[in-house]
Order: sequence, then C-alpha cells, then structure tokens
Amino acid sequence: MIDLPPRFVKGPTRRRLFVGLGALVALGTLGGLSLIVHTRKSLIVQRLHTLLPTMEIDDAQLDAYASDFIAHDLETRNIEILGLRAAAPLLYSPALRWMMPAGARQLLESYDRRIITGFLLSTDFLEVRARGERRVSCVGFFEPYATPCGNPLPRLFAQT
Amino acid sequence: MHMVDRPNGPYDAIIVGSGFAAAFFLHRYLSHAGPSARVLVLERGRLMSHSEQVLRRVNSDLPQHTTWQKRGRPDKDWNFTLGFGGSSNCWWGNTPRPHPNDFKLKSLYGVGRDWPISYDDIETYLGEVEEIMEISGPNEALPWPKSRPYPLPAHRLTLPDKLLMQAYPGQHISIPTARPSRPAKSRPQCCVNGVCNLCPIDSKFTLLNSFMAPFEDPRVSVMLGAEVRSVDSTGGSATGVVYRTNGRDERVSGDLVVLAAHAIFNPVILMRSGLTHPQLGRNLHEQLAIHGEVFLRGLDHFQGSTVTTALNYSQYDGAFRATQASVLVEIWNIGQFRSEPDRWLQVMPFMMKFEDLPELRNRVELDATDPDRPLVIFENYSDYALRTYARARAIAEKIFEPLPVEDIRIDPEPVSTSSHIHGTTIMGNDPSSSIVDRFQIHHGVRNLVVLGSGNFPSGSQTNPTLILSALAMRTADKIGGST
Repeated sequence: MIDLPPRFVKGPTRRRLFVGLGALVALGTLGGLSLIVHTRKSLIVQRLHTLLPTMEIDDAQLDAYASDFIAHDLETRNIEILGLRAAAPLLYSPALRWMMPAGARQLLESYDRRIITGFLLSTDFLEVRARGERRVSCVGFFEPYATPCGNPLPRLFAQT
Repeated sequence: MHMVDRPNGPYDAIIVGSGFAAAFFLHRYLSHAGPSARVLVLERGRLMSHSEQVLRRVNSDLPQHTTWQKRGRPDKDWNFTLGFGGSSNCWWGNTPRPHPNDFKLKSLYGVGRDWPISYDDIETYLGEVEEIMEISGPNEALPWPKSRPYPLPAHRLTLPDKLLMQAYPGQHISIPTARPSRPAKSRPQCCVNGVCNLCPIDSKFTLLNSFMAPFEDPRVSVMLGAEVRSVDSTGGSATGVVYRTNGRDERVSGDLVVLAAHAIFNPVILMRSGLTHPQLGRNLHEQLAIHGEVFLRGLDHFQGSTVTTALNYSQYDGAFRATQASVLVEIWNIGQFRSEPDRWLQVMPFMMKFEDLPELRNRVELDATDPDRPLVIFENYSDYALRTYARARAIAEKIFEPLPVEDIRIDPEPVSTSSHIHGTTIMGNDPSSSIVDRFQIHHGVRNLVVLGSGNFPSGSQTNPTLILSALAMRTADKIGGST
C-alpha cells in the first residue's frame, strides 16, 4: 500500500468524488466513440423518432426511408462532409444547442427540416394524422422523376 | 415537320430561333401568308423530345453556359435553353399580365423608360396567347384590365393566400399560369412536383407538347444545328443570313429576316452584321429576386394546387415608384417544412422580386479574343433596385402583416437569376435611342424584325413570356398588313 500524503486521503467523500470523475471521463470517452461510429442512417432514424414522437412505423420502413434520403439528398450530404454527422447527436442536445452560434443552429435546423420534409412527402403521415391515427407507412420516396405525382399534399387538400 | 439539311433559298421569311417569340410570330405570319409562301426556321440546337430531356435530366444537350462569357458581378447568372423550343422547355409557366403603368414608368414616375406602346395596344394579343397556352387564372378583380376570361379556372390557393386575398382585394391574386388547374387539351393537370423547369409529367405548356403546328405547316422548313452569325443587308435592306453549320459558314437569302434568337444572341448577331448602335447590347437587366419564408403561428400552408399559388401586388405600383422599385411577391407552395412537432406546415415560402432599371453599363458585347462567345457584362443592379432590396425585410413585414407571423426569414443573398433577360435591343420611337420601333422592326433595316424580351424598355416585375409572345403576334400582323 502506498502511503499518500494526508491531503489526498481525507476520507470517503473525496474518494467518491474521484471515482465519480473517473466514471464521467470513461462515459464521456465511450460517448465520444459512439458519436464517431454513429452511422448516417441511424442519425436520420433517431432524428425522425425525436421529431415525430407519437408516430408508429416499422423499423424496416424507417430504415428504407433513411437509405433513400441518403441516396437522394445531396445538399445535406455536403453538410455532413463538414463533420456534422459525427458530432450531430452531441450538438442536438438541448443543453449545448443554446450555446451555439446562430449559423450552427441553422445548419442543424436545416438538416432536420430536410429530413422531415422528405419524410412527410414520402409517407402517408399527414393523411394518417388527419384521420387521428398513428400507424404510418412509406408510400415511396418522393423524387419527382421517380414518382412524379407523389406529393401527397395536393390530394390531402383537394377538397379544401 | 419538314426538316432540311441544306436550305434552298430564297425564302419569303427566315426566322432565327424556335422559341416562344419565333413560334407565336410564325403562327400569325402564316395566317397572313399565301399558300405558296416559303419560310425557313434556323435553330442552333437540336430537337430533344420531352422524354429524352427527362431521361437525361437536361433541357438541351447544348449547355448554354458554354456559349457565352461573363464579367462583372460574380454572382450574376442568366438562364435560358438553346435548342428547339427554346426556353419554353425550361420556363416555369407563370404568365401574369403586365400592369398598365409598367409601360409609362418615365412619364408617371420619372424613372427608367416609357414603352412606345401602351397596355391597350397589346391587350387582345395577351388574351390570344392565354387562349393558346390554356392559362389557368382567376376571373375576379385583377391588377390589370382584361377583356376575356382565362381559359381554365384558377388554381386552389393556400390558407394564408386566402387571408392575404381578403386583406388585399384585387392585389393578392391566384397566379395566372400555364401549369393547368385541370387537364388541358394535351397536358395533364399540375400535381405540384416542384421541378417545373423539366416537368416529369409534361404538364406545363411547351412548344413541343402544345404548339408545334406553326413549325409543322407545309410552308415551313426547319434546319437544326444552324447558328446564325449575321444578317446580310444591302442598301438598308436585309437580303438573308449567314449561318454556321458543321463548322462551315453558309448563306441563305430571304425577303424578311426575323431574329428570335434570344436577348443575348440577337444583339450579337446585329453587331456582327455591322448594324451597330450606341444602345445595342446595352440596358441588360432583369428583376432582382430573393427567397424568404414566413414562419406562421398556428396556420398551415401548402394547400395549393400548383407550385406557386399567388402573386401579391400590394407594393407593386404607386407614387413610390419615383424612388423605390416596384415589388412583386410570389407565394410558393413547395419548400422545406418546419421540424417542430405539429407545426410542419406552418411556414410559407415566398420570392420577392424588385424591379431593376436599364443601365448602359450592363451590356452584351462581342469579344475580339473569343468572337464566338458573347461577353455578358453585368456590373450591378441599379441603385433604384438595390436601395429597395435593402428594405426587403421591412417590405415583407408590411405585406405579411395580415398573417399570424412568428418570424420572417430572408435569404442573405439574392438568387443568381430570375431567368428573364431584358433590354439589349431596346424598343422605342426614337431611332437615336432605340434599336427597334414599336412594332419590333429594326429602325435602319425595315425588313429586319427583332423579337423577344431584349426589346423591353423596362423589365418591370412581370414574367416576360406572355408579353413577348403577344408582341410577336402583333408584329406578324403589322407585316401581314392587318394592323
């Protein structure tokens, strides 16, 4: 046993503090690693779950939407190249978001808006919601040259 | 369509270009011409069918940016299509009429130039073009007089549009458009896919899908891949044109030459023809435009039945035009939704357009070092446009006051182009200050016609296609002797 100077062994309170700090560092490291390995697809899925908390949808369909989004959305692909993807889960935390410069907040908001816009145009979400239901299905990724009249809004509002 | 590889002149008329101006001129010219008339259409590009355009995701296989050079304001661009059908392939199909006061800018407000014609001079022609294009539009109060109803009903508006319409009677209107509100004769109804520059369902009016008859007339021959370089003239009379095909310059003769090659290329053809003028190529301008969004509190948007649903004229015309540019707002029915739960549709995208004034410094020139590619020099928008643009936020706040506005966001930079090009072969009564007369006939060469929005003395806010098409028919009537 090593004899430590008295100032380092003042009792259980200080030891707990060290243990706690150590645990925090370890968790932070693990969290950081998880950010780095966070896949683009899982980020999109996570954002959709966050933005549409009451929605019910098959994981496979959500996964398919995320894949389609990645394949089609060139604009946010460029954003992600700048490093957004790895850091996004951290940046999205409300505690940190308020500290960001306006430009960074807008970048995240823009990313969310693109994800949600594509999703609402590619699913029956709005029609399902209008009926007071929750179970959502993908009807085909909204890409004007693949599904030229896939925009659900003109149909949804046809009677207004 | 009778295609030729080698024209066999002389022709009664040679038409340079195959876009809107050429088609509407030809349509009316043929109605006056005799059964043995011979007309040649020379088109620089080739004919790309709609399905080929969609397959390749381009309007033309002749990339327009390779055909000209630019200098001046770095962010400024110009948009058009080179190929059969011209910019009818890439336009978005908005067809508002001009405001009568747009023709009298100088005399009413002391700025810009007056047109040598009035709204009344072209009113019936506007109606004829609307009929041919099967325009969908409103028939209630409008910012302009109108003698016949729109052929198709107006598009469905959004909820914010309806509030703005109540607040601005006659000044917030359903957009007149060649995107049909119900199936047209040869086109399906618009389904808001948002890619009107190349509509995948071929819904908007194009020459290819709805107005080929003038080119298919047996009196007309069409040559593709023929770039007209200059007009031959002698003794103040045009005798034909020089065109380049497969790298060789050839000549063809004709009694009437009609330049409908575009506001960038028409002046260059005149320059190469030695028909120089201090105003030729000058006065290049188009609207200064910027995108924005209104974030709404508790009010959904996007209920409309076409991509742009309405136009707001509340800041368009008035005594303020003496010092401030006219402003027109387009309401867009496509864009990014909001991300906050249950507020996805509570955002209204818009485009705000500011009138620019023609200025001599903005111009098209021949470049001696690269004579095949016109040099487009756009130094900057006029101070008139820029100082109004600087007030964009305040103007937007005023216009959208009737809505439950949470926030208004305006893009930091204007769009690079409104896709409307004006002023380079300006129209006027005085030969010393204009290139063509009130009938678009060249002041110096009386059997030479120049068509298109290059003739517009001021661009105002109005999308130019309807006007330039109407003017082309009026010119054909003049030449045919009925005006």
